[in-house]
Amino acid sequence: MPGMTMTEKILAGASGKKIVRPGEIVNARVNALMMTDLKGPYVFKVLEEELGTSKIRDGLDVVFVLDHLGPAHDIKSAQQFKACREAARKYGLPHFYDLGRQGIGHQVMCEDGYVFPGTVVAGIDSHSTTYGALGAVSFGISPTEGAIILATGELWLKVPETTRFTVTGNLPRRVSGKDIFLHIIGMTKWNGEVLYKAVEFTGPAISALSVSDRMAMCNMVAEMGAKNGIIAPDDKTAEYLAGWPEKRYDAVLSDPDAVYSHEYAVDVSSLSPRVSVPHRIDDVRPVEDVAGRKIDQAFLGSCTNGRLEDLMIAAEILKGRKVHPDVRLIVVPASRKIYLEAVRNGTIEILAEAGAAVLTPNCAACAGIGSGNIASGEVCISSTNRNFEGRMGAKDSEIYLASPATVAASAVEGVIADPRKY
Amino acid sequence: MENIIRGKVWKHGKVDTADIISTKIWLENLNNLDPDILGKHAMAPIDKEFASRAMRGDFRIIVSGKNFGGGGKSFEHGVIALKAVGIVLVVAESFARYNFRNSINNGLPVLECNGIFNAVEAGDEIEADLSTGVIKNLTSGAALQADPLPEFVLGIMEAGSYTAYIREQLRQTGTNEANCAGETL
Ligand code: SF4
Repeated sequence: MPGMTMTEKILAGASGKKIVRPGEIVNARVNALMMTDLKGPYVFKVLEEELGTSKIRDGLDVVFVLDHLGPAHDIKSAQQFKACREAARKYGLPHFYDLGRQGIGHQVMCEDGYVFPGTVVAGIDSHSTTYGALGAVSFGISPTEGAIILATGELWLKVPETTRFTVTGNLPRRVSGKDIFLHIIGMTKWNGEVLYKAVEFTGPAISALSVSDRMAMCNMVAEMGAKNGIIAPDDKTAEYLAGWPEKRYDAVLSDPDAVYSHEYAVDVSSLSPRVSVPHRIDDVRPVEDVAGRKIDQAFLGSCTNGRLEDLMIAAEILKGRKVHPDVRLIVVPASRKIYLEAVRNGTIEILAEAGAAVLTPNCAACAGIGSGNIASGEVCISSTNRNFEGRMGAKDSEIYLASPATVAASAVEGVIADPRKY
Repeated sequence: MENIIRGKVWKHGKVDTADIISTKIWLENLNNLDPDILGKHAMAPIDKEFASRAMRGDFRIIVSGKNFGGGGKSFEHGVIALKAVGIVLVVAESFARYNFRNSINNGLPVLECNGIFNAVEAGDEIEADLSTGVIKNLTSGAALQADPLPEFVLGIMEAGSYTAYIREQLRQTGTNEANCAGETL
């Protein structure tokens, strides 16, 4: 009897089984549910009207975050926020994150103690894959499925096959987890061997990554069509979660004889910064090939790369320099905690001094429905996760995806620039 | 619901979401999941005769290759359209995630079966046992093993949808007590 991957083990535990195999459908207990301003009110409507209940299952952490629309910028978003607040009040939700106390849902989930190794966590948003960076099985679901989780604390799941990426080599200076991911998706393509599968990142180069960079990688497995991304918990994970000593968890690891559907070996020791060019995420080039492309905007933020470490790398590059006069740099910390830390340690001061426009935590321009959109014909280099046509504004605008370091270097030069010079 | 499904096969190697229902029709009916309207357009982008033949009873089972319903869209129009014309089962080498979930959530059984594409020809009659995963090609005599559907998924099929199934469960138990044996962390 072969062993199981960590995704299989976690799903077995959550469905009260000793063994599960890929392809099997299980009914799994879900530990926490994330929902946002976009779908929140609708979820409660399904709960009441289609499921005929207004009782939320005990023991489920329901986290409701206002993030996508930013501070209300028109009447429609103001109405949506009002509906969210009313629902949160009606249900007495203890983990409702309103403006000024919030962040991007995915960030809040990880930093506020709702995600632990070995747990199953769902979110009504595709980038709920982020939480796998802490050793959980996490994935995006529909609002209807969210309502079912609210009512029952459970969801049916197909146990996915796992594809493993073993990443080795010392990552060169100014090259990050984002670059590793862009390299991998450029290699495997959207339609690669990971569709509907679990993607496990392992190897010395992953162990060397910070939790923040691991989150950027698991965040983006959604772009590969994967079900979930996962990284084995280690000392760094434990340190990251040390603020919640009351929450005990078991680190679930893959068995040495676990079976993988595909395995890839990736050596990053000579990796250069990567850039995903319009309009396909899997169209990835080394920064050398696209350097010099004129930009109008640089965007540093989102659930992919809006963390403290990301802001600090940008500040390192921007310290004593100015954002290019033809460019606006928009910086959006991913959460209030990050914002506060960045204020306290001087990062925000350096960025503002350099000419960055710093916004309150939210998704902002990432999905083209908050602030910071780009106009027709404009070019933006962005630390976000999607560069589909028109994602950030006008249909004929262009988005290049890159690491925070590359975004900052480009903001300085006014063109796509190699951060290794700084 | 009968766990054994028997019927003639319509077969196509590569079927994306936009093949099941065109983007145009889906956009025109964004918030209107009317089976009568959607059914008429089922599979039209790759087979103009599909809807009329299915409704005439020429076939009721779809057999396909890898990544059935791929293309990364979460809308449910395709599943509604297939059910509307009388499709009772889809068997494929593999399914795109949204499509797999949408099908089960809307009460259309789906079986993932290695080797099905080469073991069945269009027009063959097959018999699938959802609870054991055994698929027999009654025309050729071949037999294959698919991943079976567990009891509660069969319950969803019986109820017609995931929400209807859960609603009934909640009504029967009178509480929101979960019925799986998973350990709480
Ligand atoms: S930051 Fe972007 S990708 Fe992340 S949740 Fe917000 S809109 Fe989605």
